[in-house]
Amino acid sequence: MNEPKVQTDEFLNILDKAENGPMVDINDWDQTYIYQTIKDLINKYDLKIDIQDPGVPSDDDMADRVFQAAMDLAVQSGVYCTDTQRQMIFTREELEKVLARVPEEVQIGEGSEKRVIKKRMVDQEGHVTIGGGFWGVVVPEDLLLPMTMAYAQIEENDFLCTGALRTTYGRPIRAFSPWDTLACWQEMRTTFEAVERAGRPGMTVSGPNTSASAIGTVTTVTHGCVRPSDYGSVAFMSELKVSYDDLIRACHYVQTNSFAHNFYNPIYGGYAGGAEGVAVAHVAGFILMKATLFGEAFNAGPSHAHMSTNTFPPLIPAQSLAHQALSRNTNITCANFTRPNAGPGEKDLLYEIAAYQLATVTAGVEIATGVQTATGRHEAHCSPLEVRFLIRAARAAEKMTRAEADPIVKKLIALYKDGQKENKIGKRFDEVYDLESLEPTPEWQSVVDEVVDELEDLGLKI
Amino acid sequence: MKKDNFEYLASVLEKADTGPVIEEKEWDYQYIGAKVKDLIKKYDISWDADTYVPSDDDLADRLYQAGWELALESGVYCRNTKKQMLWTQDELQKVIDSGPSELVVGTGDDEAVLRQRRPEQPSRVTILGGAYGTLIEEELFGAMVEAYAKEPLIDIVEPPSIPTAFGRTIRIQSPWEVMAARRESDLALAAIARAGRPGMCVGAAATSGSEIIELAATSYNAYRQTDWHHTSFISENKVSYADLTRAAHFYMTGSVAHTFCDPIYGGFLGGKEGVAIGCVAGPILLRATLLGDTVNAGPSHAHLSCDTHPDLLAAQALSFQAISRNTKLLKGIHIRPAHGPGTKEILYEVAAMALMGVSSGVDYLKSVQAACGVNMGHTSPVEARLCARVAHASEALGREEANDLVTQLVNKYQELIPTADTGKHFRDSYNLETLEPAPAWQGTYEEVIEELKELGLNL
Repeated sequence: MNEPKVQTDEFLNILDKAENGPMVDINDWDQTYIYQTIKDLINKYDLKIDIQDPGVPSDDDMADRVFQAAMDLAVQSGVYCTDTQRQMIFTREELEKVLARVPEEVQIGEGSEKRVIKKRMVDQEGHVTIGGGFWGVVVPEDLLLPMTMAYAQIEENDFLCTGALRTTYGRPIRAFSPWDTLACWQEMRTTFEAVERAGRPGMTVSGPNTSASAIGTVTTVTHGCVRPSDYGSVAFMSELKVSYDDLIRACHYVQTNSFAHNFYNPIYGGYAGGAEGVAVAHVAGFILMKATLFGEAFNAGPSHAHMSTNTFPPLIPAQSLAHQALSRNTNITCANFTRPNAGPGEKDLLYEIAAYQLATVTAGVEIATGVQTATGRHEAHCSPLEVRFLIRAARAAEKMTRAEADPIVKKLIALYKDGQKENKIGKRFDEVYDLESLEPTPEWQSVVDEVVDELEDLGLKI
Repeated sequence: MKKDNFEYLASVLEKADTGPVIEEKEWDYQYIGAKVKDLIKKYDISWDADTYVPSDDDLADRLYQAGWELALESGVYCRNTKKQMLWTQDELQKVIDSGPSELVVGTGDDEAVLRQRRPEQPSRVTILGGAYGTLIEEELFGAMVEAYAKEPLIDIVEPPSIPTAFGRTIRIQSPWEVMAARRESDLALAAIARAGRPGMCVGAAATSGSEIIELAATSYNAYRQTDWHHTSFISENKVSYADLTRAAHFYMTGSVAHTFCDPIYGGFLGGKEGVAIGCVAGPILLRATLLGDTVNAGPSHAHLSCDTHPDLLAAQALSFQAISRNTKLLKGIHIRPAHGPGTKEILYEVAAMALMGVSSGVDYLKSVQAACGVNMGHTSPVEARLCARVAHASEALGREEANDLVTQLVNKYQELIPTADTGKHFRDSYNLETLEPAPAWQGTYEEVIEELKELGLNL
């Protein structure tokens, strides 16, 4: 990026808010500033999502009301800094100013790997950028290189998100220690080696994912490692909370003028409440992350309080509505984040991916990311084949409207919803891929082919 | 710099996590105090109190053996894990031998080279000049760095520290450290550019904080790999996760890593003989633990802080001779006088240290942490200029000649150390527009130069 992400005075003003805002007890934050405020806003703006028969809503007025409710939440509550126990308050004018200067397009990567990500609108045909990878799934050291190569070899994969190492040089990784530095460098060096071996040396990458502390980011976004044009990460905690660690990451991205994506996972069944509350928190989160962390791209991967997945049926319309609200009212570059419940080898995984892409791509997202397979909690339980499938589903969705997607999504949800209780985590990468050819096993490929045929019967040609 | 022995780095971190558990008090009393006392006897480490630059090669070699034994048998104590980090004889020898004997820092026309020297070897020493982390008001930081960088005899510049960043308090382990890192590097790099030396190597980062500040400062738009990056031990031979993280970061980024320790005179090492052993063991272990490309021990008097105390001169001289005669480690002297800018005594202290260090074989001089570095703004480039002149004039001197000169200089300042005048603030000792010394300070400097000439130094 040639232009600075933010002027120094504005960034200092944000850090000052974390130091000098009113003291708030964290319980008060959760119960009053989040739970009660969201509940009141749902009533005030008459927000309703049909969770009995979830699909893809097409009510523009409702989407706009979600945006208004989110702006109210952002202004009334702001952000909570967990380290200082301070409320970071923003005026409506401040937030409107932040939103007004969001560009209609952003750029990642360099040279032949450069990608310009242009604003999309609800129901608008248009190219979606793909960010395929492990998205932090833990892998053993010996699998990191071949797995990364397999993801990088997907031609339509525009950028690659790394996995997390379980060990580094055979040793356990202790957070907030020098191991963070060693492990994150190993992760990124291996990733760069993999993309080079895959014939894409300049490919944009998103990492590191191994470190639990800010050290991982600060130590790798530097000379000879992660480049300013890569896809950095910094986040809020649920709900609308920020830590010093994340402010450190954000500050480092600002100072190095690096591209960063900001993410936030509202919890369904937590203080945000149900589907409507998650939609409001999702939109408020994007606005407040732009104001606080100064990212260029944003995703929310709401999490079911018990199952973690964001393909839980009521979350499908909630996320679609949130993205519609953002797409209709801002230029914010939005990414979906695919976190299905099922794992590699399972048909349900593919139904979940397809339903999620249809609901969010038609809602106007600019970037489709994933797949954090089997909710990302099971070692090596992810494979590039579901990314290939995601790309096909997203490409099909690019040409559809919400109304066209709605009936198909409803049928897909019906196919997977009961199975979510069974936690079908599927198989490990080395069980569904040939480690020499880096191609899927015939069994896993045939499951995908079968589902592609099933989708065609449902009216979706991918 | 190519640094790719990741397995060794992992093995060091593993030592910090899996070594024997030891209570810190036991470390201090047994592994340092009692052990050093035994080693002094075993290797007969003693010298005449009136000698400041000993010329006894056998003593220097015995000192090296004592330092090696301390390094081998006690190792390093990791404060975060309470573990003792131990190396085998082979491991330790291998890592000591793997250090560079020549190092290029900085870039382009402003490159500087550090080369290994031996006692009495008539070869050029490298001069580092700066405020060594002494605090300076944020608004004066740039001017001070520029004033040092303008000194033609200074090869590498070491900035002061800033107490604030953009007027705000720098809270440790917070985003303010990242802001401070960038603020310091922005100001320092702009200052060396104004001085016409944009590729000059800069000591980074000088502002104190946690590991975050060094990590954030060694990145895009900030300090470069060719700058001089710091990480250190805590006295005696203790290391923290923060310092191990700094070391890992410098190693992974291929940055120049400077490592230092400050053995305490009057602490668990005991007196001057113990400090001498600490000044040998420390650099050996700095190389093994933090993978320093350069090492230095800057001992500190328990109450006075300075390292120019007469008892500490011979201890340091012998340790330099010991390391120089037995390893190829790039080692330097850190000059921390008791007096401050504007006084004659600071110049006597600096000159004594330069004579002692250069004749004992140091490869570089770190000049000058004036008034022990604890008085905001009390440092100036004049004392570094004097250091450089004396150092270069000493390159051809033997240890005995140096000892005669040092003896005369010590007589001029030693009685005054306990009541040392901390001198003047930079804004009072320098003209902030021309960045030249105020006439009074310039006059004092010239007077002392004449005195040194009269003593027989060829300036």
